[in-house]
Amino acid sequence: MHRENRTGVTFDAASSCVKCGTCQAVCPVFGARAVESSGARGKMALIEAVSQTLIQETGHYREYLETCLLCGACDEACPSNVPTLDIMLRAREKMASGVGMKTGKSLILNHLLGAAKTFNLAVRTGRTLQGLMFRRVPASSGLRRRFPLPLIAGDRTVPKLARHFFTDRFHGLVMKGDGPRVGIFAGCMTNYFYPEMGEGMIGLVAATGASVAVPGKQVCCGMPALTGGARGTVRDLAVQNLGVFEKYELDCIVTGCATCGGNLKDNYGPLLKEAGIPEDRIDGFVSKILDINEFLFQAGPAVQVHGEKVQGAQALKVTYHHPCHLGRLQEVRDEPIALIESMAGVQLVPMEEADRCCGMGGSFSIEHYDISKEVNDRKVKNIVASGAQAVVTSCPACILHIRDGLIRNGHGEIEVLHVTDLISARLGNQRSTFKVQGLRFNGVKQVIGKAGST
Amino acid sequence: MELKGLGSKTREKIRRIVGSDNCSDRPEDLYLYAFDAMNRRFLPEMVAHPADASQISSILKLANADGFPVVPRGAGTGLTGGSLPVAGGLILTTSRLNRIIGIDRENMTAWVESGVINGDLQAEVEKQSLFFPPDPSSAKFSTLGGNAAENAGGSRAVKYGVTRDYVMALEVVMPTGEIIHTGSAAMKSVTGYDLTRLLVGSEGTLGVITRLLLKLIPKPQAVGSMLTSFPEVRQACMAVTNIMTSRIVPSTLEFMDRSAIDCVKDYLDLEIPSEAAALLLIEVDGPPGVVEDQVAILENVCREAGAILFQTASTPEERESLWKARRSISPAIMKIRPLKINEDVAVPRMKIPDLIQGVEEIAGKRDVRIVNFGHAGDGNVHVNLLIDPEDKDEVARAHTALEDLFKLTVSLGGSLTGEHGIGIAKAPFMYLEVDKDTMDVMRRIKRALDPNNILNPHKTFDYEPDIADREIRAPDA
Ligand SMILES: Cc1cc2nc3c(=O)[nH]c(=O)nc-3n(C[C@H](O)[C@H](O)[C@H](O)COP(=O)(O)OP(=O)(O)OC[C@H]3O[C@@H](n4cnc5c(N)ncnc54)[C@H](O)[C@@H]3O)c2cc1C
Ligand code: SF4
Ligand code: SF4
Ligand code: SF4
Repeated sequence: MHRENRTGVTFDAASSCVKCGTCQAVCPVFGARAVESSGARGKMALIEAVSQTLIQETGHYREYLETCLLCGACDEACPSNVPTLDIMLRAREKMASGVGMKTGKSLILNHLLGAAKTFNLAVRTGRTLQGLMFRRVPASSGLRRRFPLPLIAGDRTVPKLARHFFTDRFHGLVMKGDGPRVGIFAGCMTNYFYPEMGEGMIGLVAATGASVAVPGKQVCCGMPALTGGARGTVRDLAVQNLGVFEKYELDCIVTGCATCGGNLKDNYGPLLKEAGIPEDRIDGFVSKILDINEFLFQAGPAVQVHGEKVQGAQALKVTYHHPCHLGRLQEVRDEPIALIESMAGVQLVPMEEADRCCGMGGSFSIEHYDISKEVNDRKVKNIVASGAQAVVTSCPACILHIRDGLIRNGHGEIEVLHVTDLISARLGNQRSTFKVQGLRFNGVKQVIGKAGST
Repeated sequence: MELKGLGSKTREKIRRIVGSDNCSDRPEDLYLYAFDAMNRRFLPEMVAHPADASQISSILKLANADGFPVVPRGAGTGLTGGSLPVAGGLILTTSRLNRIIGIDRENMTAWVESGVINGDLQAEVEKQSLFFPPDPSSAKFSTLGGNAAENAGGSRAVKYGVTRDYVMALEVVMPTGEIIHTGSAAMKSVTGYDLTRLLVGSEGTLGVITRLLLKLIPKPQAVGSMLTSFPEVRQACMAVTNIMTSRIVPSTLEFMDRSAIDCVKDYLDLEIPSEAAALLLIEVDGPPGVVEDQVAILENVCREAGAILFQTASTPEERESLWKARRSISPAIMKIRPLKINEDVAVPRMKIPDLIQGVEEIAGKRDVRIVNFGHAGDGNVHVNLLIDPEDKDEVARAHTALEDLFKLTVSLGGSLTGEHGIGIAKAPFMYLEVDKDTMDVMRRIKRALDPNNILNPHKTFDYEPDIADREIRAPDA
């Protein structure tokens, strides 16, 4: 991996691509559609042509640039060290600033991001309309189309919006301990769809003896806006997040969302700098970001599930999917594996292509659900072939998409869990046999109680 | 016949043949198919992704009737510009011909469509303990049709031969549109001319390959990997000769010279002695016990030749760390100069020292950075000229050096290209190796099979320097 200092990457760096084609071998989109527009090589060629004013930034150029999961596999594989990921983001920015975003996309962006408030509002309204946007609505009723919501594509299975959002329930200093002061960056998915995951995180962090804070006014990390080319919006979000987290004088900031983590670690530095924030303040924020796996791994025994290691029929067989934005972008691969492997009653079974993208890619899965499904089918095939009863991963977006894929392919019996779900459940549920079905979060108190007693 | 541009009526007919979803003449799509791995750009007028031989046949018949060039394209990883539409016309990809039709375990053969990626076939047959040896470094992203059209080699060629040796039969659409079938599924067949061999290596100028019957072999049970270095190139070459005469045929015998070692040093997990002037990466494969014995014998051979380092690998991770030396060359080179001209000259094995020495002299005389590595076992050396395209003087010097290199190669009884093909890259130098009458026979074959010269014109012996005028350049350049 060569993600050294990339702040200086410019749009015209596309011409450093020598067109060898190596990146196509690892591109999930190219795997589904073997045309040049799918892979990074073709995208570099188009960006180069635009930068040389040979073609316009309209029509298909835009469509082709957006046919990308931003999974970073090309970037990692490129033998010529072409920073494809950054170049593609720059190209999107340029496109957005020039001719404006495509209507669909800007709609999503407006709903999702204009300001955190807008998003909250959109989602809240969504909750009241919830009954109208899922599969149970007969397609023929026409209702589906009448209430299009930003995150919902066609016929996919989406999680229910949470009854109570995470940052509504928890805000401020929620746990007081003797250890370091740890802030939780929830991220939108955790906040709006999987608040129990956030609760689990609070429980686990608290179990290490740390104080836990959930800065209440935190907003989306801004990744969807960044991939949509709206750099200015993300800058504002970054400044707001910096402000709310600074107040708590934290020792570290953890997140359970791979994408948020990657964004906060990689992009916030340059973004905050652009916003005129002094270096020391930037450093005081960015250098404290940890993925929850890194945190728990470093925290050690307090959150490990003790007991006898069992194999075979006795054990819960799980496999692990490496989220692109955690494994590849943050190079956090060993920590989740070590955490799972150390767990009593759990057996980690290998999965082929464990680090190949699940096909989610943010708004990609909305705009290109057909390709996204195909990429996802390959992931599902590998999961099923692993023989695991549950697939564990570390990003709520992956969880959403993989679950959708498993259900779509008739494998709804395979559970999809966040690493923290698994640990929380194991800590709170030390019974010898593990029930996959009906696995639910056990409540912060319970987890801490149990953890304290082990 | 004079070839023309694609008129609107012709475009409409092409749309009707392949369906409008499977072809395009939008500017973005033309730029997407303007290049291959040679990294030069020529705009086609249209791109089509036909579904099968019969659609390709209709297109080629139309090309003869309406007079436009057709350029076959696999994955576009060719290094010599074979799939560049230098005369415009239609790019015809095999991207939809992507099925492995069947693997016959008993007969150890596989029928595939020509757009199947080599690496996908390898993975599939290895699940059945079978093996497809042709393994160009581009295996994971180049097509079997393209491999056959270029007669691709790779690092296993020293033991197992090249693509040609594994193609038993072909389905081909001729430039005039007939769908023909060459070769046989029988292991032995001498019925008629060997059209299979004529088409393999024809660089997309004699027909469009749509299906291939490929020979498979049993998968070797074990692999032994070794990395060894020598203080002198001559010693490494002696080791190569002694290995090849030791009655052990290595499955890989890769070479790197001092300049290549200097490039990759920082990337490696292991320490290379500072006096190392040459490095060999060697592999043997076969039954586990045999592999072990052979590694021991080769260690002796190398030490006798003067090896100052001999490292073996016993786990896949260790093997990977040895291969890292070879695999890091490309990225390492890019740090020195942004562009490399990669030549793949081949000489009789014993001439490698002369070639390396000659190249060093050329590098000095022309003041160009040159890095050598490659397939020592079969005398196929990759000579890489590193240049900065912005430095016009350096570019000019490199081109003179190139000509020196080809002359040197031919004087050593060698060949301009061991595996990448002629395309447009080496076309101006083909006369150095192939005499006039022989070239003329090639021309006559081409004319007989493609009377209107519609299929991939202006490649190899048919090269015209004027085509450079059609190359796309940045407006300000
Ligand atoms: C990083 C890298 C490493 C490489 N390593 C090696 C190596 O080790 N050994 C080696 O030999 N080569 C190597 N190559 C060169 C290249 O990969 C091979 O020449 C390969 O065979 C080209 O296959 P393709 O599918 O990309 O064909 P293309 O580049 O698309 O086409 C190559 C030629 O074949 C013709 N063609 C393609 N498909 C057909 C068809 N179905 N019918 C008729 N003609 C067709 C085209 O017209 C063109 O002339 C390497 C290239 C790269 C970029
Ligand atoms: S980021 Fe992923 S999807 Fe996008 S081009 Fe690269 S490999 Fe393909
Ligand atoms: S691997 Fe890198 S250099 Fe090669 S085509 Fe892809 S982006 Fe370009
Ligand atoms: S990464 Fe996605 S889910 Fe996480 S906060 Fe950012 S936008 Fe929301």
